[in-house]
Amino acid sequence: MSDETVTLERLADYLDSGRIPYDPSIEEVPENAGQLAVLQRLRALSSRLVADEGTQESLADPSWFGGVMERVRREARSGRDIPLVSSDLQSTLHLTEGAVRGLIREAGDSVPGAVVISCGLDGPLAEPGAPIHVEVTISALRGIFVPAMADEVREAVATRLLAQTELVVDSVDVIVGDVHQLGGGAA
Amino acid sequence: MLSEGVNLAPPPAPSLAEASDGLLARRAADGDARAFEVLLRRHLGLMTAYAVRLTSSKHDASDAVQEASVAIWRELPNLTTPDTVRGWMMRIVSRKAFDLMRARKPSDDIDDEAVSARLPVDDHGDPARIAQTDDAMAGLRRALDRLPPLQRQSWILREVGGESYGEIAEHLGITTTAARGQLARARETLTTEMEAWR
Amino acid sequence: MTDTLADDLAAVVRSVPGVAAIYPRPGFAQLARSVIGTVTKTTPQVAVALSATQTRVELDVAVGPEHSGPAVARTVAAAVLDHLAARGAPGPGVDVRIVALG
Repeated sequence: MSDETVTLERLADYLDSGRIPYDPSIEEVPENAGQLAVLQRLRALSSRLVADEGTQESLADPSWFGGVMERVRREARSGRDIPLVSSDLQSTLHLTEGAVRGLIREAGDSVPGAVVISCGLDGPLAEPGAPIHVEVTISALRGIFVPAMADEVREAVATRLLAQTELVVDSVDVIVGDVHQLGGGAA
Repeated sequence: MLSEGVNLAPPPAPSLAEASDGLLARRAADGDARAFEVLLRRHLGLMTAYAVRLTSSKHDASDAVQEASVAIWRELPNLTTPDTVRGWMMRIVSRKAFDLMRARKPSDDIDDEAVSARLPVDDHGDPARIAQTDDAMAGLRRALDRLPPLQRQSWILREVGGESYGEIAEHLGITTTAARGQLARARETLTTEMEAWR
Repeated sequence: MTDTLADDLAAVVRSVPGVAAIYPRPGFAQLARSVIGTVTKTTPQVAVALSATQTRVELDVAVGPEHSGPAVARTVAAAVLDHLAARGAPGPGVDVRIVALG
């Protein structure tokens, strides 16, 4: 070990910092630069090792997955309770906010070029017949004419809510949250 | 069949299967179990492999990933940076893996050694072949399997999970200084072995 | 009696147009305890709490595409009450919650 040799820990910290600021006492001392390269390769290999093992993992058997999704369903984010008017005293009827949000997502997704990111219901949901306000945030397909698509989403959401719930929808706001490309996520 | 020239249906909206991690995370946070399922399936292999590396047990890994999956669903609404959801999911996997190992404490070390010893060891150690990446991977696999458990876990948490020294210390139930020490020893052994493969 | 009652009710509810799936309500056990002297039975779909004077049925329903959630909820409740009446169940009551709209 020469006087100019630095510890592996220091080399690791230097790598962690993205090799910024440039450190000549590492980069320009062959012994250190060599060790740095080894460390960097080790890191890349370690990530790759686990990623490779991941692709070889037999994808969970259906019962494992079913077990997870069943627990997820039991912990559904059902949100607020929306009471429904019932004609007799023996029946208690209600709709969950989560069911309505699911319907809004589906309505928005049905419009070409739109994917719903999130939605919100504003208003006194517990009072049957009280007007509510709906806000839908969508991701728009790159290149699509956004105003027309937003109108279509608004229309689709209002139509489905009218047909499948008894909510009195005062307004539907559509917000374009981001833009995506086919097969490539957010742009 | 439709003939050509007929006005066909507009292009379909991208299915959730093509959606970015960030979008799926936001949908799932909003209560969409289907988006959660797509996200989980996408990363399940990696999550499982990571848990196997941490626990040295397929069975424990499967349990840890199951617990992690439910925790991910539960905690998604609190995730402030949905675009980094993958790393966040991996941190939940490691948390659940160590919770599980702690709960099974008494026989831990024995199990660990036993499982390590049973892991398939690839022994065609011809130095000329080991220069290839695949062989370097095999070499790394062997070297990792030979590391003492704490060193191996520290290394995996740091280099695969990107966890901080503080987080590693917490998982392992040791001080941050001790965690640095474990990592330093793992780094020392692995770089020395790696030099031998060149 | 609760065994077959719960199973029969599940079949009755499943046959209602627009019902895509039935689930037992999470937390039903708690409600069952509030009905004194109950014998409870939860099939994978329907939860029934029964005492000498009360018959409580709770269920969560997923509604299929193109059906109105409230309309299906009312039809389900009516079908359940009809079935309970035909069986002569004491103090009938039903709670239907729509948890998904297709």
